[in-house]
Amino acid sequence: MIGLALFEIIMVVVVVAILIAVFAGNRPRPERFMAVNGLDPRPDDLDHVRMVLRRTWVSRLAGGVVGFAFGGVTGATLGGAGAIAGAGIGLLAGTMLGITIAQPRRTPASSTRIASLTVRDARNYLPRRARMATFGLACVVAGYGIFAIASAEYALTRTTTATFVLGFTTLIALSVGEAFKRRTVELRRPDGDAESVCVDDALRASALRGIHHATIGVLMCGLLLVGYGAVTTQNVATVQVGDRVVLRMPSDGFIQMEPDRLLSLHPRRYRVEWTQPGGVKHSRLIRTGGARITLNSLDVGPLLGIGYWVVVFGFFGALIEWSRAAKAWRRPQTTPSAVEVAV
Amino acid sequence: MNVVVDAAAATPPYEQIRAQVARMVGGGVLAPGMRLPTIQQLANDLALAPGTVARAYKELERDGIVVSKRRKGTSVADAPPKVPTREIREELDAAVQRFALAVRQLGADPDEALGKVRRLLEA
Repeated sequence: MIGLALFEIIMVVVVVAILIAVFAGNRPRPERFMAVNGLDPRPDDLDHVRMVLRRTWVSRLAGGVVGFAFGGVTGATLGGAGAIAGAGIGLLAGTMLGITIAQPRRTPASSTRIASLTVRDARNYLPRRARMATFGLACVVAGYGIFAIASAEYALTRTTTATFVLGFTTLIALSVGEAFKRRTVELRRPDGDAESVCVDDALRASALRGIHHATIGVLMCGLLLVGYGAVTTQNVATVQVGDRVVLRMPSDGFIQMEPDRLLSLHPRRYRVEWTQPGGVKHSRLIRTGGARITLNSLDVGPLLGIGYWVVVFGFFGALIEWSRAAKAWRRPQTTPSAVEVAV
Repeated sequence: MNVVVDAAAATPPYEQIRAQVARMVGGGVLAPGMRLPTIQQLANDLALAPGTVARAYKELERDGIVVSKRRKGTSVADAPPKVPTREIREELDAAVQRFALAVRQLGADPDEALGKVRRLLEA
């Protein structure tokens, strides 16, 4: 009991610490950005970096807050887990969009324009194995979700269907993230010298890293949802008369049981009512023949045990990825070829 | 390797891109199989409409200089037609004459001008 309470306290402390760190501790500093990327802090470049990082910071937070509110309210129709996942998806999708639209679009200074024929590829700006991690996680979400549906104890209810659908919808983040990365990579280069091109390249890499972590975060929310879906479809509520299970119901609803005749001293019939989260009611009359009647829950299905861990992993994974998206500006370009390609 | 477009010139931008890429491929500067930037990237860098770059790529593809594949983008053809050596020499002679004339008209130091050219070529 003490162990469980301690675990809950630690969970709350970790979540609050991450939230504080992300909001208060990640205000971008251009000097640090230049230093971690090994760039010469020339005044003009520093001003440009300050402007871009600030725009990105404001836009990322604004997108996140709007997404969090919208996603939370929308997801709340699926219950508590839906609200958390919906808020998470909204927060991270808003972060992706915020970072993308904050990147500056340049207009040429003269009628003569120069462009390099070197291909700018998003892979040169992202951490190594970023693509593999994203696609791998998407496969896990899809695979686990499909397996959970296939091994569900009951036909899916409206709520569990919506949970799985929302979980699978997060896979869209894969193509949206790719489109956002492509758009950022293809934005116009500055007209200045090689050093300013390197600064632009480092800014691009930081934006891409932010989008990448937000994409993984959305997929983590998808994992949370399919994990929650697996748990709710593989844990059933049961009515037992003596040792015999006489009724099984999906556990994601409001279940109540009472004697058919309330005033009877020795009731032999009980009415079991189960209300789906959507409001649809089911009712069943059970004869006990005088035996003891109890309401229990029963764990069935092979995925239930890991389902809880998948939910925890998805939740903390999303939180950590959001934090990493916020810290992207202070991470150096991991692939040096991005700078080499720039010059 | 760079492409330069003068938006104020009489020659349409797509033709300027086409001619420069064709020259670089013909002269062997762009190797067979080398990937070219996406239409959107080149259009953004040159501040042109994507359709303009797409038209240049389409004409290059029609001439067998580049090949475009879905999802793989545009790259230099494996066996692109070579620009005749005489044509390259003539174009080079004309460029040198234009450069020499500009240096004389500006009254610039020839050594300084040549030094700048060397630095540009070596960059």
